[in-house]
Amino acid sequence: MSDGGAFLTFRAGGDRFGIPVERVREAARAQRMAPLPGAPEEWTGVAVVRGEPLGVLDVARTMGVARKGPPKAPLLVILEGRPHALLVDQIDGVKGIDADRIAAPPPGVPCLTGVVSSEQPVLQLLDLDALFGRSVR
Amino acid sequence: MSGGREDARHRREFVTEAEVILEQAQETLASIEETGEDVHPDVLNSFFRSIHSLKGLAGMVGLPGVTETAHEFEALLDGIRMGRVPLDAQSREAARAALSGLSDLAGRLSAGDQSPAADPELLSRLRAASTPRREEPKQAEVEIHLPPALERVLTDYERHRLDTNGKKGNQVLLMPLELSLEGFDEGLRGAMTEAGKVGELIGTFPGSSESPELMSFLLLVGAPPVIDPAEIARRCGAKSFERLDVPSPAPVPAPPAQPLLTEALLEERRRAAVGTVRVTLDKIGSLLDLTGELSLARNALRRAMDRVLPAIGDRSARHEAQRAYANLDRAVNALGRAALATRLVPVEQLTSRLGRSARAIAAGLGKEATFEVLGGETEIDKILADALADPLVHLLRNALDHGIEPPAERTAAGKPPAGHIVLTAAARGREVVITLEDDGRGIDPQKILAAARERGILPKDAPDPEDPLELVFRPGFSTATAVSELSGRGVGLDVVRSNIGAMKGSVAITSTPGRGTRFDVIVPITLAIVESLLVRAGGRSFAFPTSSIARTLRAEGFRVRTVQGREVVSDEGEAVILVPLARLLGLPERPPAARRTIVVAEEGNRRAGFEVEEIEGLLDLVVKPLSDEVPRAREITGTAELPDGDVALTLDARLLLDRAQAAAA
Repeated sequence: MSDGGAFLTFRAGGDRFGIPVERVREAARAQRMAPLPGAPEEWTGVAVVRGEPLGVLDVARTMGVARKGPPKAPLLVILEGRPHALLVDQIDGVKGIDADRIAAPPPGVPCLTGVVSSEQPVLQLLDLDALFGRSVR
Repeated sequence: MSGGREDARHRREFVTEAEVILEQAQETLASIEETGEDVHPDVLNSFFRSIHSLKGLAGMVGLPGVTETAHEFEALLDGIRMGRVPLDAQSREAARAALSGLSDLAGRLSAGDQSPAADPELLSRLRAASTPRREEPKQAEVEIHLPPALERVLTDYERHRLDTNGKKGNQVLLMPLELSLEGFDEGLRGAMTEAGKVGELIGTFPGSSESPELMSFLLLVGAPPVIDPAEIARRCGAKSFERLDVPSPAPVPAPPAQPLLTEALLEERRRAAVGTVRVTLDKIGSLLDLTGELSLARNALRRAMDRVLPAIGDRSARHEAQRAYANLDRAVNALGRAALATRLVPVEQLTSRLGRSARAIAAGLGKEATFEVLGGETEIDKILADALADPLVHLLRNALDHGIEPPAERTAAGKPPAGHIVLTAAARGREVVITLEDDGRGIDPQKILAAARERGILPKDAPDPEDPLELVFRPGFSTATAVSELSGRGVGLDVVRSNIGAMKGSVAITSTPGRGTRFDVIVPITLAIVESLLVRAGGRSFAFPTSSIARTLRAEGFRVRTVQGREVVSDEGEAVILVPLARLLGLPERPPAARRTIVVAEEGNRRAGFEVEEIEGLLDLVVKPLSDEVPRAREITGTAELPDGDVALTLDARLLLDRAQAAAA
């Protein structure tokens, strides 16, 4: 189960997700990307942010969330200390969540550290290491 | 006693300063000895001045031994610069003795001798050397008339230089120079340097200026008559010039065959030797990154201007913007080159390490060998120089272990007992070619084939490959008949090749049995900027480093044949495998066009054709390696931002060739 703290919350497909703010370096408007041949399909491609090439992982695809067509104005959540960014549809903001509001993730749903059911819509807290571990082969 | 302590401090300070002066003088003298007699007067003059100031310093601290020696030395140098004493062997030897005498005095001083005495023998030797051995300079044959105001302030030395220029048949120019108050010193220094390059700055005098905003100077310059005086004035930044000599119709003397030893040249050598600042590679790396970003910002500005400018009606405003952009563009490019240059080091840094390794390895093997380096001044990226150390040591060890024969065997073969290994480095375009050649026993291709079959590297029934020597780069191959202590380390030439391949380089082998073996290592000068061929495949942009491209072909369909279900294209009479790049990378393929566009990549002796949809052009790209944590086809090694803002993926030709060959096998 996750500790409480400040979470960056965002939308991917129809779902709402959060990651600890300390894991975030910055958010940026998604720019032109080169698709990566040979990468699993949840990888959108590579974006160059401030000269640094970053692998971009589509959160909605990785988490199997339905999306009607490609996101209209996708954003990149650039992660701290890894050569990766998350592709998200919209950023909600930063939210403080107490540990006692976080419940264990429902069985069978991978890559989550917990869920906050008191939030509307439900906030799913992403397990980044599992997310990339699942996708990097 | 505090006075005593003060004195000791002064002496210490003197020693420090004296060491600096003497070290520089030592270098100057060494350069003079190399060059011979044709030394630029500025060099002699500053040599003279440095000893003069040493004398002054010694006088202030109260060191009569040093003062006396420096005084006699100064007299010798004065004689030389004034032309009374020739710069011959006698004066050069006396100068060398004077320098070592002065260093000796400084050494004794720092060892605690409070007032070391001068060496009387040295003093009389200096005196003898500085006795005029040439006639006093006569009145110049070509009379040069100066404006009277200038004539009055001319020093003896300036008069002497003026006459010397006249005698040589040089032109003498007086040039007014107007410099703004702000930064005039820099402007003046620049003009003086320029004057020293084309000829000789005889003197600088105050001029008269009407404007209070301007500083005015007069430069008196002597130069060979072959140089256009207007050009000299232009280079010094003077608007006009006055020629003071009488131009003679006599044939002009040929310019000296050997370049003069000038102050600029000396300064360059000095800077190479001592004027260095240690900077960490990180800092240089971030400078390069920022430069890269700056050039991308410049590209973005270009794009924005292309969109916006046509909408601006004011023509002069448009031109102004274009001009400003052009200036920015030039500066950014120059900055890029300068930033890159900070990362380059001479190959020497690497080879001096190799020389030590060579001696140690040879001694361990009981062999004799000399190691020679040619082209050590060739520059290469520091990062690559470091990365090349291991592969080169390996090749060197290989040459000493397997190539160079034991002394007895060499003598029997009619060779000198000591082997000879030569490393040659040379820049070739954007690459550095390093060859390592030994005069050892060479490699017998039949033995290689036999060994490869025995070790299962080559199947027993397989035909002989065209180039058996290539087999030595296969994993598991070792040419040693007896496993020596060194070759038992388990690192083979395959590792050398893959290490060099990782630097976007290549290594090839050639050998003549009985005569020796040669490795050619080719690496880019730098990895930061890669000249690339941009192609489209699967509707996307990819960049090949041009260093790995043999050529591009536009082949009509009939030049492509199908052999055993595989397409091959004839490339200069040789059939090479043809693979669509899109298919190799798992991208959607387009049906082949009638005229097919093919990039022939090459690595060592391997070649393959990659079909692309389009060739977009040649570009210098700032390539950023992609982390291993980003999943993709492993032939993709990095990214590069294109001028239009798109991102291209860079390809590793070696890995692509592996794939193409695997696909064909």
